[in-house]
Amino acid sequence: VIPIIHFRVLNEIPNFGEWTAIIEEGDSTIDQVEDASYPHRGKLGLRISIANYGEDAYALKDISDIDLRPGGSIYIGMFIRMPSYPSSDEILCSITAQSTYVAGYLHLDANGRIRGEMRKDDGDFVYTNYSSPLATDIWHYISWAIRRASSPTSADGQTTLFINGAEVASSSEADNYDRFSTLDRLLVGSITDSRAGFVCDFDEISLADRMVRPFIRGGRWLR
Amino acid sequence: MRRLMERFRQGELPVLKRLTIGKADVRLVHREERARFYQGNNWRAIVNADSDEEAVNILQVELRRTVEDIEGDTNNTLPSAQ
Repeated sequence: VIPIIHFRVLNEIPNFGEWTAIIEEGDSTIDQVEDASYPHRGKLGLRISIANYGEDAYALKDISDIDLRPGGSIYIGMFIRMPSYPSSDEILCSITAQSTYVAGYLHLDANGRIRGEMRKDDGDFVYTNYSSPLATDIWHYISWAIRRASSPTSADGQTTLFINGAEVASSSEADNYDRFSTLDRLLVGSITDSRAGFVCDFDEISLADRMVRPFIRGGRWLR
Repeated sequence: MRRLMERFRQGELPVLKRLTIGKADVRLVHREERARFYQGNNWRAIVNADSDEEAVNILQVELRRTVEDIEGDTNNTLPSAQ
């Protein structure tokens, strides 16, 4: 089945032209640079560099035109690479829905492990387990899925995490029907409580209704 | 692009327009095709929009979100779940 790709950001257009906006705080930066480009896929990628604690840097995409039907899913895909782990927890990606509130986080811990977090209608979160540590200095393809509950009375919403095409963890099922009725924004970078010295590259960021098969050469993941 | 970003981060671009968004003082310092460069108190943003009005709306929501994310984490239950 061919996925419906709502967008795919390759970071090739100047002034972050594929994004709705970018935000930098303090001395932290977000740049389009050649060194941050996934191999053989254009010239530029996105690099965030955090200078001091709490000085966030991230890119933002308006996704308010995407209709997430009951029982439907969104898959947020991206290549990421980091030279070292953050000193403490980082949020690499978040999705807002229902106007301004965060509805999900992609969380990276100080051991290089990631997990998906999804907010339920009652305001609490459900989580996937943590992945194994992501090796530093190589690209990893992350796909983070969120499924909306199929009806207002069905607690069958769920978040699932895939790395390099393989499912690694999923949360328990939960009621998120209202929470995800109206999508708002997707944020990618270092979103909140950013850690001094953290650097991370992002490329090929996509949002689709199922997992987008990333570009791989000769059946092998490029590192 | 690199030189422009350096000047943007150093606060060297001349102010084209001053505005207030919520309680934030915001300065528009550069326009280039759809991109609009804004500076605030210890933050910067590039917003891609078709008009200044659209860009300000995008920025407005983002500035509000930053505050509400913090405040909302303690009281964020949807009416249907209460």
